[in-house]
Parts: sequence; structure tokens; C-alpha cells
Amino acid sequence: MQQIDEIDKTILKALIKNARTKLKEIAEDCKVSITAIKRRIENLEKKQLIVKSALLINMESFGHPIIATIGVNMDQNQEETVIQIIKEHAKVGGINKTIGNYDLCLFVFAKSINDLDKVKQKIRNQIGIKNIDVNIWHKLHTQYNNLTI
Amino acid sequence: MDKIDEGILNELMDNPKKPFLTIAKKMQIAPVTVQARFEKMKKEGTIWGTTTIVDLSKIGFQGKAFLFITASQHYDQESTIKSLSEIPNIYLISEVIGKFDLLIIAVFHDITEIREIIKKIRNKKGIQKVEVSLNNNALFPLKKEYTEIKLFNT
Repeated sequence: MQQIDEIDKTILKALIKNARTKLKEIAEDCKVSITAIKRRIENLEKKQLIVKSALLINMESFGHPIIATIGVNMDQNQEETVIQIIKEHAKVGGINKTIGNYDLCLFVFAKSINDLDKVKQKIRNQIGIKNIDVNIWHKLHTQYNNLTI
Repeated sequence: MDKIDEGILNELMDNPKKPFLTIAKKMQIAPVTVQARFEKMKKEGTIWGTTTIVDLSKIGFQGKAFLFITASQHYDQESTIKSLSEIPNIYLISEVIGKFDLLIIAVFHDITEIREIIKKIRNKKGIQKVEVSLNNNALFPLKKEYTEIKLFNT
């Protein structure tokens, strides 16, 4: 495990909030030079703590207004089939193999409830599927500032 | 949205940190246009901004917990969500329609910590039941799959 100091933490928090944060701003916050911030970011990238940046897209503007979480219980050899079906019918924001109440938790963007239902039926008809739950998001609350890093 | 917006979005999906000047040169438009279009798309809600995906496993986090919540009759949308969001390492709360009422995502260092988080959730007013799924991936706040979504068919 790696250790990071307060400056690294400030850098990470700023970049999580906005990948395009000006280095000058972070430097002023930490009271160090821009070069120092740049070097630290390169170092965080080298350590693979910083993985990549992402554009936050409102999928509703791109014809996919439905966000849903799909939880599936199934025989283990069916995992890849389920992932494949979902990829074919919706935009997938996250695939998580889990232990606990589900074996697979998927986050998807769908064009309509109807489309989502089709995906659900298709998965349900596969051999080895024990259970599938779909929960549709209607209001999202996110916050990145009470992370204990 | 027109071809210019689309072009800018394509460049930013390729690299969300790409300088506006680079995008402007490539698209042969003025840098202020890129800036203005970016701000316009943010204001209109086409995009929300940018983020950096960090791998918290590198600094001691073991993974993520997906917590599926059933609300009780004492559930109050505003106050319950507010009190849940005060629990450390919970970073997403979504009100959902389906089998459950809320979906919570939290990152955790170890099993003791996630047990603490679950206990805290259970003790909040308005919570009846918490069901848990754990995952050993600590990428935060998004997974790589999200960055690979194709917006345009071209």
C-alpha cells in the first residue's frame, strides 16, 4: 500500500471534482509551485492512483434517459452471457461482479422502460438465471467530499 | 446540438483534459468558440463536467459496497437522505423505483469498516432493511466502462 500526503490528497480531490482544474489553482491552494504540482500528478499517474479522466455526460441528451441498476443471481458460467446481452441492448456504465445479495450488479442507460424490460426478459430466459431485479433511478445525489483518503 | 458541439464532445471524450486551444486548431475554429460551446453544453445540461477516475485500492481501500435499501414508514425523503449522506465514504445515493427504495454506493478499507457503515445506515430513521453486495474494485467515482460509452454512431 502507498502513502500519500496532504498535498497529494488536495490534488486528487481537485481533479476528482474537475479533471480540468488549473494547476495554478491547486498550486496556490497548497502553497507550492506549479512545477511541483505537475511532478506530483505525473507521480500519481505513474503509481496508477490516477487512472484516467472522464467526461460526465448526461445520457438523457443522447437518447438514453433511463438509468437503472440491474442485479442478477445466476450460475457462474452464465456471467459472460448476461454481460453480452446487456451490452447489445443498452449503454453500460458499470459491470460489477459481486458477492452478497447479487452475483452481478450492472449500471445501464436505456432508451426507454420498454427497452429495459426487453433486456430483462431476454436475460430471464437464459438458462441458469435464478433472479433478476431492475431498479430505475429517479433522483441522484452524489458527493465526493466525505471520502476518508 | 450541431456538428461543432459534436466535434468538441468527440475530442473531449477522447481526452477530457485536452486543451481548448488544441481542439480549436484541430477543428479550425476559434479557441473562444470551443470555450463558449463547452460552457453552453454545461449550462444546458448536455454534459456535467469532467472527473478523474482514481484507483483507491492503491491507498488501502479494498472495494465498493452496493447497498440496497428498503425504507420504513418513517422515511422522509429529505431528512433521511441528508443524514445518510453524512456517513463517511458514502458517495452516491440514488432514489430508485423497483424492488428497493434507495441504492447507496460506498467505498471501504476493510470488512470492519463496511460493517460500521451498514450499522450506521440501519440506525438512521426511515430505514427498514439493508441488503449488501460487495465488489473488490475500488475505482472511484466511476468505472472505466463509463468512459468507453459511444455517444455517436459515426
